[in-house]
Amino acid sequence: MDKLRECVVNLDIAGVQEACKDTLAHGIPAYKTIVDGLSKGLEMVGQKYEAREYYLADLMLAGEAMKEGMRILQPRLDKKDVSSIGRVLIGTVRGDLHDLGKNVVAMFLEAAGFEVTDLGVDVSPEAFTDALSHYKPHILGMSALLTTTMPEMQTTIKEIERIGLRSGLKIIIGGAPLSPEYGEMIGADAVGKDAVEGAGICKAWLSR
Amino acid sequence: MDSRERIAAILNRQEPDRVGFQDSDFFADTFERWHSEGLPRAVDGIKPNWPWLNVPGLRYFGNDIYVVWADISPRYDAIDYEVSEDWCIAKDEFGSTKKSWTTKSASPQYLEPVIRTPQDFTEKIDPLLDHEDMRRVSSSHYPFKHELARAMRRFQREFFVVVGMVGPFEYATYLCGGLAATLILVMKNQDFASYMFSRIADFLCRVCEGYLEAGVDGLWLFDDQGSQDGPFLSPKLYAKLLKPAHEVICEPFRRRGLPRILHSDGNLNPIIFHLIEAGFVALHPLQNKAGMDIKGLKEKYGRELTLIGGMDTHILSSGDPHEIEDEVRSKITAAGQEGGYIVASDGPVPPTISLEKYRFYVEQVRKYGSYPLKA
Repeated sequence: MDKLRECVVNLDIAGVQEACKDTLAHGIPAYKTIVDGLSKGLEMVGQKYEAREYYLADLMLAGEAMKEGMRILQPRLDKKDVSSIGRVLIGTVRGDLHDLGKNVVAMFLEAAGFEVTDLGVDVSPEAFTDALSHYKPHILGMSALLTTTMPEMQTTIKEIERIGLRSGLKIIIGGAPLSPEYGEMIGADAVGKDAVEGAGICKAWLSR
Repeated sequence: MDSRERIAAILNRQEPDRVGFQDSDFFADTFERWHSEGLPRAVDGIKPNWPWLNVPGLRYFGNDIYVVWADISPRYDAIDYEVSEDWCIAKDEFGSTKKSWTTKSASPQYLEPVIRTPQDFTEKIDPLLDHEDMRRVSSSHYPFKHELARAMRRFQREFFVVVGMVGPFEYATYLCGGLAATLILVMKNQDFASYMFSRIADFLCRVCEGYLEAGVDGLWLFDDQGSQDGPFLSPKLYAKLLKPAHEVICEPFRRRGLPRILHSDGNLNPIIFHLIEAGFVALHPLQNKAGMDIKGLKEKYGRELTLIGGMDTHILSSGDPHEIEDEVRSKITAAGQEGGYIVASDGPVPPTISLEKYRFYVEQVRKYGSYPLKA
């Protein structure tokens, strides 16, 4: 497992593939390999990003390593072992086609053990509320990169409140133009300054 | 001083008559709002889907720089596949199929990038990077080089004229289908990335030679290198993969003593040293939110770099007149000492700024921007 974590941290995709096969060959269950190997490795990558030792390109490559590992482990997952720490619904708001930040957040959330439903980009308030009714998530994450699309977050939160889905739901928002003051003003519970911090906030909410 | 003399002095870090002014990047919706607030209709973006301030707009707000855009695409035929009121799905001149907003300024969503593998680049792009295609040194507005040279001289009576083009990294994002795909490709195959950047840089450099022959005053390279958190690539990887490509593009201008401006969003602090070594003499737009502190940059790099930008669009949007005045005064005081500063907003001018506030901001630039600077 140390080797797998090391390969993730070193962004060594071939090494990750090999280490995943090794753990399976040694009889280590796939879910344990994911939790203690891939996810822990990605967490360490996130720490390096926060410490400015790693850059966005490194995060993207770590995500690729994670995907390659999952490709090997997923078919061997025993359904009874699969339990998420919580459900997160995520999407980029209406009028905005940016998905890089949202995708990185989703990657870190999945690595942290969340079940993530990604609604994609250009998601209308109605599409968010429909999905909230359907998936009943613990957390809603909204992303916007443009000052012109930021107000859609407030519109969506108002719509969620209007139809009575706000109670018990945590809302986190993220995106370059956002500030904690803006988050507070529109009624979000938190603003993630980057993907790693955003995933950390979600994890802290559900571990309470 | 006229605009051309002023900007030449500023880019050479000499004290001009006043600070420069250059806000030309807008959101499309900004013009829509301002027209309803009384902005003359003639002031607009270059095209409906390209809200870069047109010539009447440059004159109206008193901008100092005119950008001649070079067509550096592989010149694929653009095809609209599907068009609605708000968006369209189209193949662009770079050969990638993407979904874009027609009514808003936003990055497109790539549906089918033109390259996914190194072989795609060799087959679909490399043969089309033909710098001798006469339309590149002209655009459809000036079909012959002598016409471009004549137009350039005409614009130089009013403005400092630079050739504008995207840099090798931004170019690669158009080919690979956006930032994420490009970063993954770069990280997975650094040898190919290095080849691709150098091939694009060589092509851009040759296109620049044509503009230099026509008498252009400098280069403005648009090549985003960073997010809010920091550069996309580590400083080491930037130095290895992109710095040589930037050097190649800067070189013909450097040789002639002409300025090289880099536009890049994001936090560039960890790579500024490399950018200077690559040959850039000015940085734009210095985003406040990304930690591009104009005062700190002036102190650290003021001898080598001209600073362009830094006016906080958030303050211009939501600040009261006193706060806007304070923003303009403090930034000019911090960055304008002994020249080396061109006022510009720190990102595209958003529609959250009213025309009244924007006019007030421009007035403050005139009020505080003359040398000797008011404290």
